[in-house]
Amino acid sequence: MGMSEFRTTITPSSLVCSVVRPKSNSRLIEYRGLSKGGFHFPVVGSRLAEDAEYRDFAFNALMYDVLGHIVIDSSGTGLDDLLGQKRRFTPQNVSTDPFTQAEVVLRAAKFALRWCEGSPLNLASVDLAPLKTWIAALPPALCQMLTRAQLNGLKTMYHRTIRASPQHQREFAARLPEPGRKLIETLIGGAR
Amino acid sequence: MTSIHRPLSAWIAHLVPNTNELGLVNDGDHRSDAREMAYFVDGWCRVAVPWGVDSFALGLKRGDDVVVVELDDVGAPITISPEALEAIDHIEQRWPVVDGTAADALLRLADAPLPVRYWLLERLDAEGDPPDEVFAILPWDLLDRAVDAVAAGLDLRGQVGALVEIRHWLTPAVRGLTGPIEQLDHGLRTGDRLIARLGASALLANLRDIPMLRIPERSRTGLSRLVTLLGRVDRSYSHVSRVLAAQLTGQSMIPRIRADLYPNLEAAAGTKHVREHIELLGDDVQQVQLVQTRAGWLRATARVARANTVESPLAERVGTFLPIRVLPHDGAPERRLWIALSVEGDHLVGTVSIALPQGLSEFDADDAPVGVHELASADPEELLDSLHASTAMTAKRWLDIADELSDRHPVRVAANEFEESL
Repeated sequence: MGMSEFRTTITPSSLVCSVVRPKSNSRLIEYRGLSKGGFHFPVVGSRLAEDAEYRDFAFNALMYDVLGHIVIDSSGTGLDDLLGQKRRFTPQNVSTDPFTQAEVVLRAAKFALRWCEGSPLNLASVDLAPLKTWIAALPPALCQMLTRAQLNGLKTMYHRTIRASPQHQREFAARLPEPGRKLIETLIGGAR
Repeated sequence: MTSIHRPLSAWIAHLVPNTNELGLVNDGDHRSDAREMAYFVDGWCRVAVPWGVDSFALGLKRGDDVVVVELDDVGAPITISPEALEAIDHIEQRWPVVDGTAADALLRLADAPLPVRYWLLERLDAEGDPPDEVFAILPWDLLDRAVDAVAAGLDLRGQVGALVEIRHWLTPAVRGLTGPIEQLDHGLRTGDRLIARLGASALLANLRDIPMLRIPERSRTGLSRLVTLLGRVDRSYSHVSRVLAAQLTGQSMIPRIRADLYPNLEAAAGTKHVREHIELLGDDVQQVQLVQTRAGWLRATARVARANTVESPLAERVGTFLPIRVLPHDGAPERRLWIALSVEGDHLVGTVSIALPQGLSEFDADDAPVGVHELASADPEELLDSLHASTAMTAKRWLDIADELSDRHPVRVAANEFEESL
């Protein structure tokens, strides 16, 4: 089957594009277009450095040029964060939208719990210092700033992506400053 | 999920009260499917949301004045007329059963916006068993125009017609049909004969398995013309193109390379000799001699006319394999084998020998021969089965072809495993 039969989507708020298999909601490719100059109107996307500012973490802002075989680390810390002795969570996102900020906290939980999986939870294997600094600078009332629908959406996302035990989830939440701790505890909800 | 009315599209957005603005796609979770969202479990009704001048968006409303709008693939509201909304409401009341009145309602949506038609049939196909004729509301004219464009390009003196992007719009009805046609189109348009060959082969292979009756008659006639053309362009396609053209146009009197297989043959009367049942299927272009023995073995010898592709818009095959299938009648998975063919005069020949399956089954060799490029994404384990079934001469042909391929090509991987197992 040719990929031309796949559905393509563009999320309006983030300009993230995706290619979705027929008869499924699973995404084969997800990407964000870069700027294209020479037009009298804006063309989708941004420059590499701008793009990195809307990713979640520096290790997720790495890009690979498939033609030139070059890894581009436009944040400057992505490779070190990924390959260092402790995997470091350096938030990149500059958005002031509470939902986007909450989403970054949620994604931190997703990656940290996945990478530190084990009994006991091995949180010593990741460096959360830049994440904690970033969370501490968020609006203290972050949870209250989310609409009910947004909070429900985050809960759905959280429970779909987090596989760790509730105990490990709470352990991770306890490591975070406010308002991140409260957000994760809210998302965990009554799970035991 | 028991609600009568749930989103059809994968994306919704909340209508922000008193602003006529939309919230984030799926409350920010754009990777999720709105139809699966927990809060649609109950209590929603269909509504046409005023959107612009004399225009409405497809929406859902909950008693407490919560309104969501269904979005298309770029996050724009899906427009709907009040009449079309009424038809959707009628269909959803009976969901997923498409009885006479629901089928009528579906056919009334033939002019509704594409996302409405796409999502309705996509969801109905996933959750119910809609009758073939309702798929007629999909934009089959796209397929017709693409087929015409490709057919024009297959003529050696012709030029490919205007480019048509069919995208995913017909996939609720059939998968694997429009992709190969667009691939064939691309190959012809750019002069890439290999891409054209892969598109042609995939089209002929996939047409054998897709539910043809979901394709309206007019489009089937166009496809029939296209496969007939392919049979003329490449002689080794001519058998499968005859079979497909007949199926597409409802003819039944076409000789097939098909036979029933019986695991237990009776001994010939008055003898103790092992009885063999020999059948010769097909014609001079594509022929298989089947020998079933009382000992429970099946030997299939394929003989295929060599194709002359010097002036063809399709690239010459590298290696030639005839696909065969053994389909158990009890519904067990089919067994696929490929016979590697060697040159013998103006024909290509090869033989496999396999144990007959338990119970009744059917042998099928109606597919077109393929080359190594068509096998580039095959499972090496499946190919290995064919190597083990090959006679010594046929296996040698496999190994000779594999020698010319990269280490990672499935044919090479299978050949290496085969050699190691000897």
